[in-house]
Amino acid sequence: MLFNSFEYAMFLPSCFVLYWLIGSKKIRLQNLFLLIFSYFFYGFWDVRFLALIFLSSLVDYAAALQIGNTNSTRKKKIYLWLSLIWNLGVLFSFKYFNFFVDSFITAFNLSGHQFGYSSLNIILPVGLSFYTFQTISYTIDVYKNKIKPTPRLLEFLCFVSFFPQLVAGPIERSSFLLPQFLKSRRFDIQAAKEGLRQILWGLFKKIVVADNLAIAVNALFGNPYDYQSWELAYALTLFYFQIYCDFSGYADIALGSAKLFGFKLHVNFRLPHFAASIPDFWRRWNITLSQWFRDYVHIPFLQHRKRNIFNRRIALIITFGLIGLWHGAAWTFIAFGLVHALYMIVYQTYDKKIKRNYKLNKFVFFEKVRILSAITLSFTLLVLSIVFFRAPDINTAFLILSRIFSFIPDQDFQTIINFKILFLLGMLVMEFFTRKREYPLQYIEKKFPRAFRWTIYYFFVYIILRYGGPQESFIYFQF
Amino acid sequence: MADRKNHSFTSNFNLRRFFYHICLFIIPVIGIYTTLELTLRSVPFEPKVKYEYYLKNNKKIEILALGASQTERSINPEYLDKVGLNLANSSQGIYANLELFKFFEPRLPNLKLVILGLPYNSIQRGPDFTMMEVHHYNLIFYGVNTFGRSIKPQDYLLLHTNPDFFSTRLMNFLKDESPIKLNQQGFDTNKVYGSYQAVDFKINRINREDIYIENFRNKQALQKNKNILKNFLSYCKDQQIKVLFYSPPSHSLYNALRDKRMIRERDNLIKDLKKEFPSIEFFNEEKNEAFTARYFYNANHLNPKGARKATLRLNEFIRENYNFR
Repeated sequence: MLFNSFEYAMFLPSCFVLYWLIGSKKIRLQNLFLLIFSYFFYGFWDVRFLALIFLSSLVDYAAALQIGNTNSTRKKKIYLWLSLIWNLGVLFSFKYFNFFVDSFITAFNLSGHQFGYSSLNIILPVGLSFYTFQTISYTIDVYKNKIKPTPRLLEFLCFVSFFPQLVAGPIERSSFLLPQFLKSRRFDIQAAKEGLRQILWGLFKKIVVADNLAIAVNALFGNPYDYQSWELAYALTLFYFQIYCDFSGYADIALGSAKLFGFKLHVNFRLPHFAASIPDFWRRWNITLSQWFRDYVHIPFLQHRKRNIFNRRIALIITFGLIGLWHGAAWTFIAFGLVHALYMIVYQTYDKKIKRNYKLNKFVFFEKVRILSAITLSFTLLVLSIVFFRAPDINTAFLILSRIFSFIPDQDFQTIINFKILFLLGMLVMEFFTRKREYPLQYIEKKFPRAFRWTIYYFFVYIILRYGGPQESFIYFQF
Repeated sequence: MADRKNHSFTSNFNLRRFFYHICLFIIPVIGIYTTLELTLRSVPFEPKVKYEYYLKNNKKIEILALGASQTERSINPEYLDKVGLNLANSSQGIYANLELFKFFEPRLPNLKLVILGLPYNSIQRGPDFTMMEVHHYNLIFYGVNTFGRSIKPQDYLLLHTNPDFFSTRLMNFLKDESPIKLNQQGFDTNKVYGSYQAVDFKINRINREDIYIENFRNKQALQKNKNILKNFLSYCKDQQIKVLFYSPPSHSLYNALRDKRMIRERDNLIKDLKKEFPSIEFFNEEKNEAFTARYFYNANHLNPKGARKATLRLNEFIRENYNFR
């Protein structure tokens, strides 16, 4: 069930009414309903996936309990490893098995030996990478004594499968989300209104901006051989904004939906295209994923080693290589991660003195120019790296890059989506001027009277219904 | 004590207020959307007119034409001796066509001949070739599910499918400025101004790169379509319905761009089918030079003038090869 589908438009209000009908006194009953909604939501894709998520939840629930109940370090380690082997095993089997086997066979065949094998037809369960990472972090946190294991199975199942963030994040930590299932949730009209406004904004980003950009991106990437420098650069830029609007639009709908049920989720995007450096970009893009890799891969790797330059760089390469691989089982994604590792290394080497944080309203003219240059440079580097995200293979990615750097002008440059490109510009302007808020429509109530607010809402509803692009699935669902 | 208060749906004032505001907001949206959707149903879309024609003539219809846009634009049933119904539609793939056939055939007691458009690349098109609008048309106007999946409630909505396209059609209808003029068989007799007329039919002014041609080989689709066609032909044989495969005229500029392997694959498929079902005929007009640029809307679609000529030739072919009483 996609967030931008008719089914979700029916599902969400039904859940909302049923959920609040129960009343906030009956927390467990509310949780039970949430679990049923979430499993229904997930099973809507494929009922078979339910068994997997249920089993994964059970394994981590039991492992964490065992870790918490024993004083023996050795036993704790065994349970932790059991949980990790299960989670990573599931991830490997469903997501990476074919990739590794195919890569191995290709390498084997290159050595002159012939090895026949046809890939298995494995269906990747939706959102597997997201909920697996969530459960892994739970077990590790219990192991490290950061949190206590929960004995409440129902609440734990809800934590793993909470439908707004189940299939594409944000990847929540148990210390943040799990307690929310344990306490009473009162209906807060302000939070609910904010939730709806955030859903509206998310739908605008996804349906109007991302889905229309997809038309141009698909046309240009469909046959990159037909296009020259500017058109391909334009395609790459649009693709960046397509995935940004797609994923952050999804996140807005997820956060908004959660607010309707009295839950808070982490903000996952903070205008990453205005990042002043690549490290700054990763503090603004898919924030919960970046933090996950920081806390569970990068820091642990360095914890047990000398913090010299060599180890720090190796840590970056491993972390970003894995971030790339997390996005998909293909060499292009690994290349994307490695390019970013390279950016980070270069940044650490040459650009240590650049201030990471900036406030646009405080600096003088030259500072503004410097920041603007830094933003432009970061954005250019980012857009160039995104080619590996979109191209079907490494060769095509390099072909596109070589055509871009050939600087051959296009004879008749076209935007392809004509005036609809203005929706992107409008969105960027709105986001920029409301950058301190979670999303542009936040706190609108404090500034404008109801008639004006409703006019704005109707305007967005009209734009969505009238100018929505062809329904595209959310890009991040495939990860 | 506030925490102990039961915030159930009925007792919580805020919740009721919230719900009230939601209803207040959403009712006009649903009202306007429903009005637009219903108004859209009064627009004389081609399938709607064709369905009305079918309802009036279902007992007389002897010829049923199916296919994609090339067939749609080349057969004007008005010029057939026998009563004919052309259900071909833009980008309507083989699967969708044969779903339509399954629905209409039992309802056409006098049906004797099915013309299935098989132009150059049609057999290499997978099920996703058919545009979504066409599936919605088929469901809403004919009641036939050609989606290849179970029906969802939103499939009954037109505006939602392609807001751009349907808004334009609706506005044209409301302003009475529609460029489409359908005859009673649902054929657009006004679809003249295409890329060929834009250059006054001077082929030296046509940019070869602007000619759209799908030279994508798709072996999977080819095999699948072959199986679908076999089933279709067996059924027609049992029902004693003749089948004519038809490839409408396409312009020489278009023909020059075709992939020879794809032509061969199509022709071989028809040969194979003919071995198994000898009664089928293939009327191939692709290279008919009598169709000069003046008869074309664009490189592979005829204009109404071309359709008239093509239909008359097709009629002649039917008269010569089939003996209908």
